[in-house]
Amino acid sequence: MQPIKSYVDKQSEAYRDNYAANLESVEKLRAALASTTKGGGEKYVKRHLSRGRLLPRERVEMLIDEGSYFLEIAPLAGIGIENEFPGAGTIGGIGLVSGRECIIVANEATVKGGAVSEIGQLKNRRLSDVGFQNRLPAISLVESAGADLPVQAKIFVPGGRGFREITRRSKERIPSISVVFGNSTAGGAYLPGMSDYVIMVKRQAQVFLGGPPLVKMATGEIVDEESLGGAEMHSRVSGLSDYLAEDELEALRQARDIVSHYDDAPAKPYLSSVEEPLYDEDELLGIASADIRVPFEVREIIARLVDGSRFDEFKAKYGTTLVTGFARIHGFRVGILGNNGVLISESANKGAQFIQLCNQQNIPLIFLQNITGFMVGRAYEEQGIIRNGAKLINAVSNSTVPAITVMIGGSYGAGNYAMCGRAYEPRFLFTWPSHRIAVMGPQQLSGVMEIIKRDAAAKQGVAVDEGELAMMRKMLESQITRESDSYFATARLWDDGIIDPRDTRTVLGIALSASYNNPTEGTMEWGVFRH
Amino acid sequence: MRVIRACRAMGIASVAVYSDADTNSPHTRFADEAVHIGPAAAKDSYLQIEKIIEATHRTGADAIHPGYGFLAENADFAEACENSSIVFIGPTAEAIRKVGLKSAARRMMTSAGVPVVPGYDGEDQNTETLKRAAIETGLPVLIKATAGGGGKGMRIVRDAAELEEAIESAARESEKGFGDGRLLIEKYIERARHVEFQVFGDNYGNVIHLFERDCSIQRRHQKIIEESPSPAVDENLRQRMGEAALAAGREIGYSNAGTVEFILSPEGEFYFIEVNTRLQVEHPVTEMITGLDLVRLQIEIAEGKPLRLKQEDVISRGHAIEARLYAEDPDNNFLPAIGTLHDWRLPALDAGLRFDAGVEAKSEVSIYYDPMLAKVIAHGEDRETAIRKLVYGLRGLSAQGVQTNRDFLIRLLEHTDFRRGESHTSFIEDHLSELIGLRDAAFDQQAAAVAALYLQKKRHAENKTLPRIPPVYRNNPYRDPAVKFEIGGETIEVSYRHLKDDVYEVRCMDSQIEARVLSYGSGSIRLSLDGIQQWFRVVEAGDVLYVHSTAGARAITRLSRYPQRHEAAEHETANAQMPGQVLKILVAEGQRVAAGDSLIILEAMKMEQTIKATMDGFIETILVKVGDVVAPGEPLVQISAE
Repeated sequence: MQPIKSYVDKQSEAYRDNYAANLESVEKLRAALASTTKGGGEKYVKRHLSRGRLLPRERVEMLIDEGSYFLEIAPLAGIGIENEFPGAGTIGGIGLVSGRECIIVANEATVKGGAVSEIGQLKNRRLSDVGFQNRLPAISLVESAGADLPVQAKIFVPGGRGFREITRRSKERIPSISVVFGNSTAGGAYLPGMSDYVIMVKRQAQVFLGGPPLVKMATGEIVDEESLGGAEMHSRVSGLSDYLAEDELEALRQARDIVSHYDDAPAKPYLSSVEEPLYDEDELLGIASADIRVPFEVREIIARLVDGSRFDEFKAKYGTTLVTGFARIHGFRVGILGNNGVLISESANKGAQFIQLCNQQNIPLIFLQNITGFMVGRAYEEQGIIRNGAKLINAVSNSTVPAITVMIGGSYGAGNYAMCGRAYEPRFLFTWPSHRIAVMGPQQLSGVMEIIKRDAAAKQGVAVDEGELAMMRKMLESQITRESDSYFATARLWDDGIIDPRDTRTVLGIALSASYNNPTEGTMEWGVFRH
Repeated sequence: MRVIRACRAMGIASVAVYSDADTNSPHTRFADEAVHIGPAAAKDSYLQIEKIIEATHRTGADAIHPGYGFLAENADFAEACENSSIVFIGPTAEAIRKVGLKSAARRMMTSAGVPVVPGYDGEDQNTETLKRAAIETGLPVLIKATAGGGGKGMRIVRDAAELEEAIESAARESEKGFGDGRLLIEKYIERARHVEFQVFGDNYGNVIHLFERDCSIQRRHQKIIEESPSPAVDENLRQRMGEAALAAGREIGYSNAGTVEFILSPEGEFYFIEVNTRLQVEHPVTEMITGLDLVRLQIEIAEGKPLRLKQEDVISRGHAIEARLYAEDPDNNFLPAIGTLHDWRLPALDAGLRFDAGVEAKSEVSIYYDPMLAKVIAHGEDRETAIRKLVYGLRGLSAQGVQTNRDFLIRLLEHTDFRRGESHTSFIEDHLSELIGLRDAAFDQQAAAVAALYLQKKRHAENKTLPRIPPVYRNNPYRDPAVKFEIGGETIEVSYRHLKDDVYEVRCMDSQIEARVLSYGSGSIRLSLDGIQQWFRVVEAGDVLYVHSTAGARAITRLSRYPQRHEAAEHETANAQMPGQVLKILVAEGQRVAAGDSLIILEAMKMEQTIKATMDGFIETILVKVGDVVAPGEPLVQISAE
């Protein structure tokens, strides 16, 4: 395979402007991420530490193997949303435990006592899906006050899903461990209750359906918390706990020991030596347009993500607004689809064909989304842009090889669907800080709305209030701008996290490796293609 | 090893003898053949004359080189060889006997005109006589065992009031150590040097000397640094002492290698002490200045050849100095140390540097034999160069797993007074505080940082999942990876941050360095620490990492991420495991029990089940009585630690 030749001019004004702006975005990302590591604030962190407990992030660090990576999923969930904390009270991600890739979920005990918020529940659900879809053993580090009661209406009914999924995973031989460090009460008690293995920390774990006040209310029985649901009681009497740990570190060690007896993960494809890309990942900041409306060459991006910058481009001269081709990332074979402009019929057809080829050969797909949508206009409609776009969506929808989507620019309209957006269930979906997502761009959307308003006024034969219209347009534009922002998206679990563009190759490597824990075969079965 | 090497050079096949402890020792393997002669304890093997003679019969060996220790100065052994027609490579049994008793040797020397230390060597061993002799000699005096050696039975007395006690205890000690309680008294010369002359005689009455060795640096009356020429001996004195040594040799009718030992006073007066009738540990010093192979000379003489050198043929070139590397703890009164030499590596050999080692990596240093591991000998055009070279050689030597005197030797050799040539036999005692108990905390930290990087690099190299992603990758960094070590009883935490490629920022207590890993291999790592490139040797044995660089060496224990909790639980309850009936209660409240003690017997499912204590403590409460029916999990007995 030949390496991609790069034509980037690092001295150009565009490069330097992009670099400066993107670097600023990355700094902003770092600051936002850092805000998630502070827990529920100094006061609660202090109180937690004063009780001799490890902070939830420390628990994660001490659980995973020394030197292991930890890819946090949706670290910024909840950011900017009222009544939510950045991270939504949950830390979740993929790391190595006893050499095995596991999905780890830890309650952020210093945030509302680890209570589950609305976004927190969405995040838990996503983490459960990541575990299930990729067959990753799960380890829950539990210390949670249960449902965040004031918002119970939003979480009570869907909340049952989490417990259902634990046992369904169990049935599929995907084991789960609950390590209980503190409260795990009421509904939360079913988290250990449903798990395959339960470890409880002495003098800390408290697991019961109803606490002493509720028991007193219900039956008049007076009982202390330790007798009602302490680690000792559950380890010696109720049998809910399988391992009684003297302290938190022992509990974490026990969890590691349990994982060490698991069956081996499915063998991954043999990886020969991995070539680093020929070009520096740092240059991605200068290449990717800081202004989402300015297109940029996706091959320059690919050249900085794939092994040896080698890329075997498929149908290079046909449907050129979609770049397709084969490469390797950290040794894993991949088929890459990257936008190089608006989707037209030829590029849609080419994409559908390429996805079929990758399924035939069990090659995971990487989507690099930078898409304003499908082309509109009379000529394109006549050519069958809907029919051809549908072929691509058909292929994306029915493909069974692992797919990973990275939104490196815009994600607008049906382009989001055709390029494996969230609704198309890629195994993982990450975004770059400059990324924007909406049905269409804010200017276009408000412009369209203005035209509709004017047309309506014209039909009714009334004059438009130019001032009101201008104001409406301005307000709408700013609303859409706000709502298409990458932080707005990531706060709502529309993706698995915003990443530093320079980490993309690493993150893809981790995601691909995780995907291979569930080595799904590519399919040869598709919906009816509308030819 | 040394002897075998000389034999090989001469085309002579060699046979080693070995005890159980030396089955796989370097000397055993180095020889062409090796004969097992008994268990580890020397008295049952290496000191068994008959077994060694028998070994020669079994292998057809026709000569024995007795080495430096064990039977090397044993006249009976030499005689046993003579009687079995085996050539003993050394002096005759008669010569050994003549000089074996210190008092007899003194008298012999006096008659030969060799100066002896003023004192008493009479047969009258009455305590009063000895006391009087000591007073007449003039305090301070040295009381020595007539039959002794190695410092045993030796006392320095400065105060007349202590004489009686010293004489009696020295006599007891020599009686016990050598089966001979006789003592001699010598004037103790303060700040004296130990200067000895290497002599060689053949069977034809020729005796030559190969110059002196200054062995003044001693601890526990044993030499650890030896050099030649002596900084205190000028040409004139050398001439006179050499003559005296030759006179001594002639008087004894000495053949083969021997050493005539003198005391040299600060005023330049020398006195005979004794003759060693064997090749000595420090002989390489002489070899390096004369360019001669002394073992070869020994063998030639034993073969009956006349000395091929005349006195004027022997020329001293440059300066040679030897340091003895011991398995011992200088900070703990030089007590011998034992253990496994997890790492043993000699630096690259440069001209003028020699290592004579009897050990290798993974050697066990046992309690059975002398704890000397190796001799390092350096030769240079002058004393300064030789010392510098020796220090360089010692710094490059990695000997770990067993406490050694390496660092002590380096400090000694670098001591200003020593460098000025101001050595004497109590040099170490006088300068002890400058030589021991020193700890370079900065190097502790550096070594810990190196260990942390080594472990990180090793993990990364062994990582099968995504070997090429950045080390310890986090998309949302929380804290830097950290590792805890214990060095010399202190806990040191090292944390590090991956900056790029192979560059890390490493923090350890109050220091912060930027480290680049330049190369990594099993057993070593090359690092650039704040821009300074260096090799570090890192050898792992269990939880211990042995880190060595030319700046020092440290044994670093990796502390577990999940420390075992030693403190016992405060309370424990012994619970029923099956439903059953209490059949018997074996303990009473307040009774002390140990973990595993039986507490209660239950009858359950027609079986007797014994409930045992799971911790040490005493019985706080017995919660059931005989006949009670209990459910599984029901607490039966409470045990309290206090």
